[in-house]
Amino acid sequence: MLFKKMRREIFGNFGQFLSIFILAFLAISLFACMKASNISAYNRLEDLYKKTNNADGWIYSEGFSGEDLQAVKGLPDVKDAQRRMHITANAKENDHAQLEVYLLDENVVSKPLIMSGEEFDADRTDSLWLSESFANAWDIKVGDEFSYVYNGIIITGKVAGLVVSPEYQYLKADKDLDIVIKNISVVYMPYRGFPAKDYIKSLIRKGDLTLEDAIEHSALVREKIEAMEEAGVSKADITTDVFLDMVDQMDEEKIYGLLPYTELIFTTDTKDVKEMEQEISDALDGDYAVFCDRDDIPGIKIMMDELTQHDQFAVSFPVIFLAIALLVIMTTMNRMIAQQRTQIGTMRALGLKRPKIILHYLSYSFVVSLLGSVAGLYVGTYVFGEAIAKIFRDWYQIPGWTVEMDGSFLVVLLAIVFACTGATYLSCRKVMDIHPAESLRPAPPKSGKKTIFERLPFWNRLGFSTQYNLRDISRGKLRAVMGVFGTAAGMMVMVAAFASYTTIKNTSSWTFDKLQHYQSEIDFDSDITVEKAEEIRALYDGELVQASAVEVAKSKSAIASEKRSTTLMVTEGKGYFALTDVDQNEVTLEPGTIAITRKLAKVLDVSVGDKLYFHLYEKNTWYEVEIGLINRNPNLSGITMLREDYEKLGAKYEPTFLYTNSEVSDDAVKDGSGILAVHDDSDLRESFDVMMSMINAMIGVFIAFATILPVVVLYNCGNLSFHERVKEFATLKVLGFTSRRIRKLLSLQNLWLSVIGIFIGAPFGTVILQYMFDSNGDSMDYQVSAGTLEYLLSGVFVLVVSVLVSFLFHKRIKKLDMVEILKGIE
Amino acid sequence: MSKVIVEFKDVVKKYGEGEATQLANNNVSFTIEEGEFVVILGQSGAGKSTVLNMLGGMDTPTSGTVTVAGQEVSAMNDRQLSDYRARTIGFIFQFYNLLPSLTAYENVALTKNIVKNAKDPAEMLKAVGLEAHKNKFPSQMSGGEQQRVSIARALAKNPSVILGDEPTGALDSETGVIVLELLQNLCREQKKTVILVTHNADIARCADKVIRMKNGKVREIRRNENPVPVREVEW
Repeated sequence: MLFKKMRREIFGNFGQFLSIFILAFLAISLFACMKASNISAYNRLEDLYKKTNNADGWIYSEGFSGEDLQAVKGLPDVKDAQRRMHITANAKENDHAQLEVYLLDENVVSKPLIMSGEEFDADRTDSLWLSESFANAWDIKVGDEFSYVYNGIIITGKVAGLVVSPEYQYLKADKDLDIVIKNISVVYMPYRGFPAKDYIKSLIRKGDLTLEDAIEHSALVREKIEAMEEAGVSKADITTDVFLDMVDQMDEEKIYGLLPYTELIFTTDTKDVKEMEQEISDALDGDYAVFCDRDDIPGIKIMMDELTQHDQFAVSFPVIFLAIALLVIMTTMNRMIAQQRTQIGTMRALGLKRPKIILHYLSYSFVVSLLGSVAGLYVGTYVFGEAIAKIFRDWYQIPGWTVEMDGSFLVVLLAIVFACTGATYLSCRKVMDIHPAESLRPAPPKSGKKTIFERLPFWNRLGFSTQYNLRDISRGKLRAVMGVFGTAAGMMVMVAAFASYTTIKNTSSWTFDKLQHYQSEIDFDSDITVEKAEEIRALYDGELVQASAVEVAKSKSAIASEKRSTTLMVTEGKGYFALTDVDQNEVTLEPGTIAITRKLAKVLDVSVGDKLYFHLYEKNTWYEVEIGLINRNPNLSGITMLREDYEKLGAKYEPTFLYTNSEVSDDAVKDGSGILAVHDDSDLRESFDVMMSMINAMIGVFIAFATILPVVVLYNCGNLSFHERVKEFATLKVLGFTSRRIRKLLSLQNLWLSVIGIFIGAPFGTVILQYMFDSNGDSMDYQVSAGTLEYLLSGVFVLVVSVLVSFLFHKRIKKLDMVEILKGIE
Repeated sequence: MSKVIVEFKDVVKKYGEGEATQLANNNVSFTIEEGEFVVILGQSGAGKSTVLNMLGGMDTPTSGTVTVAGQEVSAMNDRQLSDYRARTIGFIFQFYNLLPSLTAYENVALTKNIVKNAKDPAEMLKAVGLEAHKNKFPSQMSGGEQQRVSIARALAKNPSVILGDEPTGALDSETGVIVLELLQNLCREQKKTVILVTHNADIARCADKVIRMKNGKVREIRRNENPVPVREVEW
């Protein structure tokens, strides 16, 4: 019977219980949509890593010998280890897409996961394995021929399989601002399929492989030189041509001794891989450049950052909705129980036990929040979550990524339901403490007493509506808090929506007006000489820039955890590639110093005047520099220095780009020209346009949430306020107040609460947005900004919602049955 | 002869539809003259409150006409009814219906927001003997005091007609006498038309005119040639 009572009363107070349902639904669906796709991602990643025996540690150097491999393999903590060579090349066709090529002579660690075609086989020297995403984007099939260019050498192989690389969930070409699948692929190739002789010769011609290097790395070369020395030829007599002849005459098989294994990767069960650095260092006699764990591998780390961001969102956003849901529940149940005081008295007089009555009232919010939570869990997981997974599947390479649930879903569901039910318990406990006989009588009218507002010196000059509403607010504090909190949350979301738009717009003008004073970017072949690059600069004018991967640290003897992988930009200081300070003002770099980006400086805890140490990723030499500027760049993290200073350090300048304002036609890209690709800034502008359209879509979602929150909360406030004051309104109506005036009286309070909420919520809009942008990882540093217009628009929007909500009550006030309401004692 | 201020003509009021139809008023007709103290008497369900509600512009007849102070109330729209309630009628409820968040003074001063020429709230409270209680909230006053505030509020609008729905129903007899005396004096001294609805036949002895109702019909309209002073009535 009590169940029937509950059911009828829930339907009788449909508006309020629907609000609770919606809020519980939103809270858990937000949690579920972020979490469900994340859980699936983590589970599928675990599968992927297990199947491919993905590495736990990566060691880079100029070359690892077989002894090095054995030494690492022999370490007690190391399970499997393997050497490989890694180069970055470009596709011969396919828009010269960037290729991360791995040359393997065994397939033990970080094996490519075969999606179609044959398993990787190091003996199939005529074959190569391509990323499935890239192959699909270009319609490349298993069995097709595929060619790429490296250091001027064209390498062709038959596509034997399409794969997913366990090291590249995040796969983005260097030239792109965001992921463009068709611009990048991972390529796996048998070590012996690589044309070693041609490659070595190209290195010798470029000066990158000297005779000394060859003697150090190849026993074969050592023997030959010794033989030549015995025959009376000194090392100095061996010119580049002689050296090239020597290589030409060498056995193809033996030449591989000169081809360096630049990476050594291993698996381990050790939790903190970085702790192994000392034993690794000992095993390799310190002869390596960088030691990394999975947190340092961009292809893994950026994906993990994204998942961590989702994990944070999965908690922070639902908490807002849950807090509002609890406020709504407490106020709704307070009113309902106060209204049912005599019914409760009757039930107790009839002999119903106290726990049974309490349970009855708990069942209202229990049922509604449970229904909302279950619906939210289902829709959040399978509709919203799947939609999110679908978006991210296009960006990140995780096979089988969809949505999955785990035990945390049940925990959150129970937490929400118990929180809602617990809030109800707090409401009904008070009535239960009243003596049954007393609760049979109506509650004494709320004792009128002076409110805090009445101490205002101008209280007596306030109009009736103002005084009346101020007193009502002080009688219904919780309701007022709910109204303020709800509108504040709505305002916060709204400001964040508009601010995301201005932030991207600002970032675009920051990039194109302040940081990039060029229209075209020429990407050089990786084997270009400085002389050739300077020739090209003479042709087009502009500024040469070298971009290199480096490792930086605060001290020379930093351990792995104190080092950071980042980018070094070496400029000629001509201003084509410009710098801005933390406030986006253009600044120039003082010669003799370097600039470091704000976030990186913070991570390393360094400031202007401090010393900084860095080394190129593939080289073992550390350089010392002094920080002269903390700069800020939205799209680039790292250090910047002048060419003259870089060369003074003794490092070899290797330009990567030419930034110019001249028009460069696509015809400039041809074999032997040294030019790999030409981009005008429309590519970059296009990336911003794509981001803008994504932001616009996001604003749509934000606006939806920003509407739901104030509508639900203000409707509830109005509803509660209306029910609490219905008798007073009827009295006012009998006294001659028009319906319109009563509606105004009711909406005035909502309007105040909205205005307060707007002021409270406004500053948090940019705070939450900055938090969202910052949680995108260290490589981005967007400066969130919102102008007066954005605040104004958001405020007006929330106010309009507030006013519209008040119209929902107009009909009810008009239909107010004065006779019915005034005749009853209740 | 005084001028007729209230006229009920062939008023029928039905609630519900079909078989569930209830006839609350069945061809009710009567007139009330300006300055009269009228009691509508009847048992529960007699239809007296329905008459009062239609007089107060809170309900409309199914057929027939209700005219008050020359205005046909039964033909008014929502807005006109609000205006009518504001200017013509002063209502006194059984359970006072004061706004709990306003003090006695403010409850009366509320009328300033309703009509332009509302009377001074302090004077009105003085008239009902509550000048010392003006800063009290309803919850701090007795039932009789609350009802007197309610009368002061009704008077402050300076209405032509004062309607009371069992105004002494929730009061003890001593307090009831004070309230009734106040209402009778309004009639005698200020020439207000006062119409009370009650089931208490003793109160009817004080009235100038008694309209007795039963089963939705007017059974008797009787003029009291010698109304008894309220103090002499016992109930």
